[in-house]
Amino acid sequence: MAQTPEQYYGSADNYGSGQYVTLEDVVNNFMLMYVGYDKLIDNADRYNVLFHAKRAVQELNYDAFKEIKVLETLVNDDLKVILPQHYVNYVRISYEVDGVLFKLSENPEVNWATRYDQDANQDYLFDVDGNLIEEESELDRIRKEGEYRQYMYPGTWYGRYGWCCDGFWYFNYRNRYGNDASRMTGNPTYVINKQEGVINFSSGLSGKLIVLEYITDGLENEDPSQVSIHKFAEEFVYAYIKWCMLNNRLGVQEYVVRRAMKEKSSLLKNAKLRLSNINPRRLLMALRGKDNWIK
Amino acid sequence: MINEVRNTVMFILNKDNNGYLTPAEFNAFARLSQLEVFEDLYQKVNNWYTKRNNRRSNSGIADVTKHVTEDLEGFVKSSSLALDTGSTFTLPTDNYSLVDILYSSKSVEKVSNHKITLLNNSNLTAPTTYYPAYVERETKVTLYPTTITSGVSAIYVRLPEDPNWTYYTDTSGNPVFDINNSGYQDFELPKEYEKELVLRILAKAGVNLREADIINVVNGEEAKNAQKEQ
Repeated sequence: MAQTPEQYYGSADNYGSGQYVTLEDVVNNFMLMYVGYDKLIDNADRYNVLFHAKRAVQELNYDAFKEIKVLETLVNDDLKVILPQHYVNYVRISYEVDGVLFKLSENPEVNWATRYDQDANQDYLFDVDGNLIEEESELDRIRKEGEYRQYMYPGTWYGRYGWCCDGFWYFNYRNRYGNDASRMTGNPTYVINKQEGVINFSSGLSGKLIVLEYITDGLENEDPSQVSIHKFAEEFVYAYIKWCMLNNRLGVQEYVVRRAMKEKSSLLKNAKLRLSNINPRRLLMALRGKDNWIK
Repeated sequence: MINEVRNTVMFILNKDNNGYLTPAEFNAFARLSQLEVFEDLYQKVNNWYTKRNNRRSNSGIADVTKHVTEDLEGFVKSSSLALDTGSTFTLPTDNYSLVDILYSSKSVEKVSNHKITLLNNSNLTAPTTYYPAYVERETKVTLYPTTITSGVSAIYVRLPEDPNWTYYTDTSGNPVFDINNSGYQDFELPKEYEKELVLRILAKAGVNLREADIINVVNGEEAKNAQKEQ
């Protein structure tokens, strides 16, 4: 139903709502406008339409919408941060110092491991129930306790950077010359452990604030009137549902399915283009800087 | 309309002294005939929609699809449902066919009994209070999610009331139509179905009176009607 200006400005929940349609509207509209005895889809269960509509919302959230969620959180002593509830993938992870964000790099090497207790003969030890006994792995211990600094003692390793844990020094396998440039950063690093659902940070971030920018599948809210779809992508959602239903239906001519597929694909391109928000004025502003001298 | 129907039936039956139909017999045949015509309405509506899809139907005053649909819609009724147990509600006794179940102004979707378990376990489409579902078992409906225990109503096609030709007996012992009797109930079908009702009652009366002539005439009329509707 249309809102009056008074209703719109009267509640902060309504601000900017003109940009979006809700999942509830999409499902209702589809059932009303695309399903019927005189339509391509003569009958359809609402839960089928709802399923495809939700899938469309997920797909759009993965690569078309720029609906980035931002979480600021403290890193625990165990250098782990639990992934947010509806996290699908991260955009950027930074650590925050006095309101300034320092981008962190992902460490391509694992920095955690599961380790089982072993006796002096390296045989695994079991508890009374016959299960393996877990203990903290060396990788975890170093990640948590280690401190990356310069080794300033006489010997072959003098001047090299490494980790000192419990009086023992650990160095990178690679030498300084020929180092992997992608890993050369003074900032701490992180590795995402998808199975455990946590982000493992390297040492030095304990008790510090990190800022996680991430995307979700857009379906955090069970209430369909709270799941929003940008109007630029509304037509794509209808086309996507239509294609999915025709594609799964027995006896639909191939040319009808292909027509629906082409419609869906071109509307996705349109939606992405519109959502990318390219406008001449913004391009002009960027191009004004093209003749700047770079010193 | 019931009196006109009875008069016509009696007139035809008595024309050649074929026999006599008692009020109780007439009411029994009238009830059955009305049910038959009512059930045929469903098929009629379906046939006309098929014709419309095949572009064999017209618009405006020649829109028969609209006309027969309206005849059926005269029996559509709304009623709140009484809770039985859990989230199971009892359907009204005059229910013939469910059109929709509503919960908090939301349409509740009908799901077949063999699909409801899968739907309940679905990660994306499990029934919620926003998109509830129901299954029909015997004369009851069970709503999902099972937290729904009130505020449920049904829109349904009800059965027509049983017609009842009421009368009093005059001094000669003949039954005389009494419209003011509390048990009086007219046919609920529109006037245009009068002829069909007469024919169907006559057919039953013909069987009752063992009059082959009447049955033959009625069968001939019905065959003509069916051909017209093709």
